[in-house]
Amino acid sequence: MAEGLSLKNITKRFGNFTALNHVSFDIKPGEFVTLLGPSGCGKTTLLRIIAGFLEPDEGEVWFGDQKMNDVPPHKRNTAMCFQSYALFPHKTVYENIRFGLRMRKVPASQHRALVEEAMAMVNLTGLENRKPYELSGGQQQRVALARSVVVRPNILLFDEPLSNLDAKLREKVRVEIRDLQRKLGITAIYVTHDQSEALAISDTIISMNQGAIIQKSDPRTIYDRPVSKFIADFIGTANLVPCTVTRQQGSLFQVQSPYGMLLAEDKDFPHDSGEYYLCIRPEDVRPVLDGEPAGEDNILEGVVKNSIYMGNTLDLFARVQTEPLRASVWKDYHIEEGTRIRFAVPRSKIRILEG
Amino acid sequence: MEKEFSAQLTRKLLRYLVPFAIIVILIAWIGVPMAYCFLWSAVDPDYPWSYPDPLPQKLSLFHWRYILENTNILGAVGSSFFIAGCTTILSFLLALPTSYALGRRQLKGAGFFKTLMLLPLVLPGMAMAIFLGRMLMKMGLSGTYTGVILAHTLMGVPYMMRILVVSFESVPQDLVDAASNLGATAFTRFAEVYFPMVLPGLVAGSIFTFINSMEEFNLTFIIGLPTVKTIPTVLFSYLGESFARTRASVVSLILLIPNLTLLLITERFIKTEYMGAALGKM
Repeated sequence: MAEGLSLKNITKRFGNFTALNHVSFDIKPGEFVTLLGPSGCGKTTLLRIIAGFLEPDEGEVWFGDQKMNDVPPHKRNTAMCFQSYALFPHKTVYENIRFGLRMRKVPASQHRALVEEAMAMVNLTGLENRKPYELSGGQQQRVALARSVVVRPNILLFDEPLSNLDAKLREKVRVEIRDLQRKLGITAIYVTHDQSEALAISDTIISMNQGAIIQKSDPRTIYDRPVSKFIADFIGTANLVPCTVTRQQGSLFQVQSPYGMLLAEDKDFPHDSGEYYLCIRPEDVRPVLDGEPAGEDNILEGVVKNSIYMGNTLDLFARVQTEPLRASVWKDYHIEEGTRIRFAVPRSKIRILEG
Repeated sequence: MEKEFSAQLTRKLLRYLVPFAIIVILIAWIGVPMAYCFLWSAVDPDYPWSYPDPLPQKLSLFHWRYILENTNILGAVGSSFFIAGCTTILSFLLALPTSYALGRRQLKGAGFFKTLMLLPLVLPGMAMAIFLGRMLMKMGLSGTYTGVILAHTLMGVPYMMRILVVSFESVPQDLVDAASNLGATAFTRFAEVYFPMVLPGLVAGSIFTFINSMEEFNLTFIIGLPTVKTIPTVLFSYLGESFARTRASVVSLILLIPNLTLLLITERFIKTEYMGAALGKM
């Protein structure tokens, strides 16, 4: 049975260091939620509090309608995939996967069928009698996954499970994890510092920094409408420059920035006064060739300093006025270094963010 | 060109010759005294082995027979094994929980205790034996098996703990967490995660303790005599005033048998995959 989860005002301190500062959020049953943030942001601490390995100094952990604060880890029905896989080195693959069934007093007669089903789910059939050290990293990862799902936990926990795999395998396994979680309908909480992994795998991303939640939303929103400079910078790449709003008409703004005077259309403009930043994603910048009409788009004129062919895109590092501007453009453009060029940026693609 | 070739040849030769030479030296180091020990133990008393004879003139089992018939060497072997066995079990029982606490729990002053427990190994054996003997005498344990076993345990526990603390420390916390996450109670975590992972350390520690106790002379001599006799005390009685190289050789060889057997057993055991597990290779 998938179960929802609520954290209420969780605070955790290690000595003088506040790892988590009044963190609260709710997760719906069956939802796939990623805790995303740089190292030291408190995401792993939070996961360990949910699993019960750590106790919060303040706040409450609820699974469904049951308060879990005083429930020890072995009685919470969670299953965790560790970054190190944490397979028992002295047990075979079969015994590793069966461990949770034995601990949960599942009748022995069902073990073989359940383990075999779990192994089939992660394509491990035939490796029952191997020891963990006889397996590749990817296979070990699958054993860890099978060991977690075989006990049918209410909540699956992942602690950077893919960080020890190479890039290709990482993409493959993350799709498999997502499929498996959907198929079983288990609530999942996934910790990562890899923004592309978070975007690819989640229903909801909870972005954290310095022990606090900065933004909780679906991948598309968090990428397109980041709420702060930190998130815009952390998730994907962004051109971020300070700016001041000089005129406003509805959701249309005129802003003064190092790139010049620009027009931006932003419904979520933070209305309190203070320091603002312009955010332009490199892929929203397009070169305007001579004679091409730019329409209503903002025009930024600059010089290309570096032109880097990436295969799937052409990355341009330009200088507009005195400010660097990064643009990720169609791969078939031939733009030489040193070219004077005009860039177009649509009004709706400029975000105004708080500092 | 030729110079380079010969340099290469020299390097190649060196690569084979140096390890070969080391092996030969090591074999000789152990082998020559052993061979002499065998020869001395088989010298016939009617044909003394003296300079310039390279080998004894006649070999016989006279001294073997003498030792077996005139001394209670087999009794000494028995009590050696008994004392070593008890010492090992007692050290194991004392060291296992202590090592767990020192290796896994964040105890205040753990470093201090880890150093403290090594103290018995630092003190000179004889000094230790004299003072400990005095203490045990006051307790009425002089000349008893209990006294000897307690004294040996004092020397055994540090060895056992030294190895076990490290074994416990090297069990990855993730494994313990994974076990409890999957539903294991504290007892199961110990039985199914800690125990198999510290087992190689446990075996190594036990063997060390056992052999140490088998070879211990100072403590046994001062605390155990005259009632408790072990192989080393019998051996040393031939190295004293009435020095008899022939008989000492016989006793040495007898003393060697159990230790050699144990060593081979350990070697076999430690080579299993558990060792890799204990070292954290997963």
